[in-house]
Amino acid sequence: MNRFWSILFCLVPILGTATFVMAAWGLPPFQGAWLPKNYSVAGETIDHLFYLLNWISAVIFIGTGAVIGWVLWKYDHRRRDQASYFSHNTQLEIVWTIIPAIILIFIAFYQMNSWAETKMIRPTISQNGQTINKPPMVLVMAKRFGWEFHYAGPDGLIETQDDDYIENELVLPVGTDVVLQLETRDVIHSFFVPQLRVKQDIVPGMKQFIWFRGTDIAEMDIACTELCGWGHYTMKGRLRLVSQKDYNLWLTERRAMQTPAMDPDDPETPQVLEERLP
Amino acid sequence: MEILRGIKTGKLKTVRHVLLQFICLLGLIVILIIMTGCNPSPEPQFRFNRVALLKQEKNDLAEGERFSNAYQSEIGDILTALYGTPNEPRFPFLLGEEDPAHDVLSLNNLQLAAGPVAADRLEKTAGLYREHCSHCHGITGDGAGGTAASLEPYPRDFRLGKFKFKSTPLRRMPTNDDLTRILKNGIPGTAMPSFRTLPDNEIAALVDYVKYLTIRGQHERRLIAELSNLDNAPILDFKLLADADEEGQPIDEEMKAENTETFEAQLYTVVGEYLAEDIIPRWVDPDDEISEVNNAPAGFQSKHPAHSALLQTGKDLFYGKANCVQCHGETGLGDGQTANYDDWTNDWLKTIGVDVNQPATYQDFMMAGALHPRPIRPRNLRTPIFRGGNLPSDVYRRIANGIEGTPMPSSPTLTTDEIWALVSYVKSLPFEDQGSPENELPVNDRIVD
Ligand SMILES: [Cu+2]
Repeated sequence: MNRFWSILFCLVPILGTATFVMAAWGLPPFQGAWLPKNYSVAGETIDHLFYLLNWISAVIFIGTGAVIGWVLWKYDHRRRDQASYFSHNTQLEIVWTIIPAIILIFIAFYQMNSWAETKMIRPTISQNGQTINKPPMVLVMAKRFGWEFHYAGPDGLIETQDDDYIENELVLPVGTDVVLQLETRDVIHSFFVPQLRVKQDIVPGMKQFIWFRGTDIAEMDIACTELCGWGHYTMKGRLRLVSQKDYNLWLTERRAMQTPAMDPDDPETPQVLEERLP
Repeated sequence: MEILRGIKTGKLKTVRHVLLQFICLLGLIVILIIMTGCNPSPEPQFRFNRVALLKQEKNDLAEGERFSNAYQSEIGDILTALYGTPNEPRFPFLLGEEDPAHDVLSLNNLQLAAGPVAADRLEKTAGLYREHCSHCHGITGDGAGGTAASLEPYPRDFRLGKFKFKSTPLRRMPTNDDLTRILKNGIPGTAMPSFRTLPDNEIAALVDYVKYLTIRGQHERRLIAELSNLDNAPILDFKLLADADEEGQPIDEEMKAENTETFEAQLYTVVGEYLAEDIIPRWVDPDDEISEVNNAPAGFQSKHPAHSALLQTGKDLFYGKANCVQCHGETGLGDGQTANYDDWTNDWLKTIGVDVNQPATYQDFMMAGALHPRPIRPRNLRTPIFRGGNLPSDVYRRIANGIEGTPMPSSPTLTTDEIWALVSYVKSLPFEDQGSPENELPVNDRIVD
């Protein structure tokens, strides 16, 4: 029983680290517990930051764990080794303040570009010789308990009469910057697509914008990650990333449905479909 | 405390002792949880339509009649024999393989949707209805699930056999496609969510299960509605099948044949007349009834030169001939006529002696399971949300056919072009320049949302 407590306490960092490593390698029983495959351009930077922070944390966690374990082992109560006791050591305190401060300042500067790109600098387009923020392609309206996706009509603007809406299915093109405007009808929800490394709270009365560029054709789930009521668990949507060609096709089909059949003999009946192709 | 004392005095044995006690206690709790968790909860049962019985009784009582208490269990037994239980659904395919009801629903689909939720994907999926629907619509499909009272509008009670959003005219049943669409799209503006992420076969199973609950509910209501003709005799008198009379004397052949005939006549009324000849035929091939959406005028296109004239026609109709303004209000906010009730509420609210302004007169209906009566709000046309779908053809059908179970009427007097003009106008309302209604109408500062 000599070393019971020191071994018991050392097990915590050891098992913790082991769990982490097993999850990262996808070893049973932790298969699929690590990050899902990334489908967003900005997601690569985010993943890089994630791994960097994990490595820094790992070094500190294992280091401090080892030191504490060693102290427990060495100064076990049953043994005569008496630990020295002192109440104050300026040098030591400066060291353990400055080192974490340097690490934190480094992280703050290192991630700044990535934060700005994903949260602050919206993609732009040029219109009439001016550079303007890219208008949102879809208005995402969260509600208890589901997602409404209001697509911009032929005018390219959301919240106009030619909008089309569809629930719980979001179809978006890959290889182009997609801007979404997020709003909620009732309480706070959160738009979360792990495969795109996107997560954004949606607050009543506020408009949030998110943007990303999909890298590959895929299907993924959209989840709400803000507990919003009894049906929170049902608040699941489907996101389909498709090629630009398929996207245009899908959009054309949706828009064709928005146009009722008209008298074919009327000379004024316009050639609707061709005219409306984006 | 004991732990602390142990540490202080260095009595590690005490510490270990306490630790052991703690672990034992934890184990005990786990065992308790497992034991109570394994206790099977009682199998859910379909709930009897007590509201309908109460209504029938009250209306008949006004004529001096009273029902025997035995009817509730007798109707329950008949329905269980025909339709099974929530765990084991059945359907009375009276003609076997040839039965026309096979076109309405399939037993396989019912089994997929019924029963307790089976989460394991590898095994047979089941319990879809209880997983996705019953918390609002109730196990029985009576629209009185656990969340019902807090929702506006209330979840649909299927038992009346009325569906609001469909491609068929009033008093016709919805098609499979109509029900599938509602499940896939949800009903925007209500608590009905979209189930688009479910696979098609599961949606089809749920559609069939909704029809099953509806038909069962319609049948139940029919049985209750006919009670007043029975003079308190049983619906199905099984004594007629006995070989001996009450004193134990054998019944002669002639009498027995007559009795059997009477019983068969009773049975025929219950399943043949009520179900096979009345309810089922209305569910067979509703696709034949789909109302046509006539071609729109070319001016329906927003960039078309005739478009603004079409909008103006629509506006004139809104305030004039079509009289939409009466319910939807001067500004289209849905604040015109706000004291109406839908058919699901009116069903019992119109009972003799019930006054909506005096809760004491309908307290017994509340006890029987009716939801608190709430007036139906005409749609606010200033929001770009259309419950029955936002396609022009959807809005066209709502105007042309009306909406079942609500005060929204069909409009047989309007021409195709007039309906299209109204569709055009109504679809433009949410996006109308906020200055324009004020030109003619009193300022309404509620035009925000
Ligand atoms: Cu939510």
